[in-house]
Amino acid sequence: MNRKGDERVLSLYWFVIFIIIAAAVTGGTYLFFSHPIDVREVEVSMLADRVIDCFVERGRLNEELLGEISSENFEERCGLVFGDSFEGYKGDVQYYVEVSSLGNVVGAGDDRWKSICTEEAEPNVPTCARRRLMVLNEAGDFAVFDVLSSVRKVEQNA
Amino acid sequence: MGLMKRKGNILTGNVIYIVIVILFMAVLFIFVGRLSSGGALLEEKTAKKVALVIDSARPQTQVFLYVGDILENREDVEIKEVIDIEGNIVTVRLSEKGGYSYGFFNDVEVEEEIVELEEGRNYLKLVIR
Repeated sequence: MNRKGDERVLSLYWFVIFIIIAAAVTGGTYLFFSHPIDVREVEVSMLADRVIDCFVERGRLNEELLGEISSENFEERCGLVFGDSFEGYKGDVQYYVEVSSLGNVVGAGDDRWKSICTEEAEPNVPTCARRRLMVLNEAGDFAVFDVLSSVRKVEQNA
Repeated sequence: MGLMKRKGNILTGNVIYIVIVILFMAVLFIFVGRLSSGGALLEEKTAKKVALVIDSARPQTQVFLYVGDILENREDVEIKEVIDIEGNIVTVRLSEKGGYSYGFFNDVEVEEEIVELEEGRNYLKLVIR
């Protein structure tokens, strides 16, 4: 039996195992912490709530606002600002909101984020939130009020 | 003599092996520790936290936010050097190089300052107008 040779092989074998474990731990940690924190689900939900607050007060729909609002004055009337100067976005607007009620449909932001969004945050796809409420119109009847909000920001979140 | 020499070789080999393993473990722990509590991660976390708080706040609101220990021992620095809210962008900068910015959609004016609410614990005060 060559005991000295056996010990060397065993020692080398343990060393290789140790390197493999260290590489796995390092790689896993690096992958986990280098991934950005995805806050788009929270952000898009807040955006939808903000739009609802803009149009609905104590369960009553502000029909006057719904009639006056357009994609041009949406941000100003609802106290929103969609511009984002982050370099990676190259000046593209990262938000889209759309409300529809009583036959009116008004949207603001970049409507490209409307059709391709998913409600669960996924890499490279905008995240969206949909809300459907029953509100009272001016006559006191129930009316359906739909809100769609979408946030892209994939470079900073996914 | 031969047996003694062999024992000595085994002992030296084991000691070297143990020292290498301990060194490896130490480097691994330092790497993981630095990565998990690193400045870049903290900057991103804080910028996003502040941006989301501003998004959810109504005008005429004051918010006191504990943002970890990034404001500790920074009484002598301007808050804007660490957390800068300009336009609708929050920028957190913990070192001279780099920094992390995140935008918010709420069209409000925000003033920020450092306040010591509890003894030895600094908070970020946001006045949202």
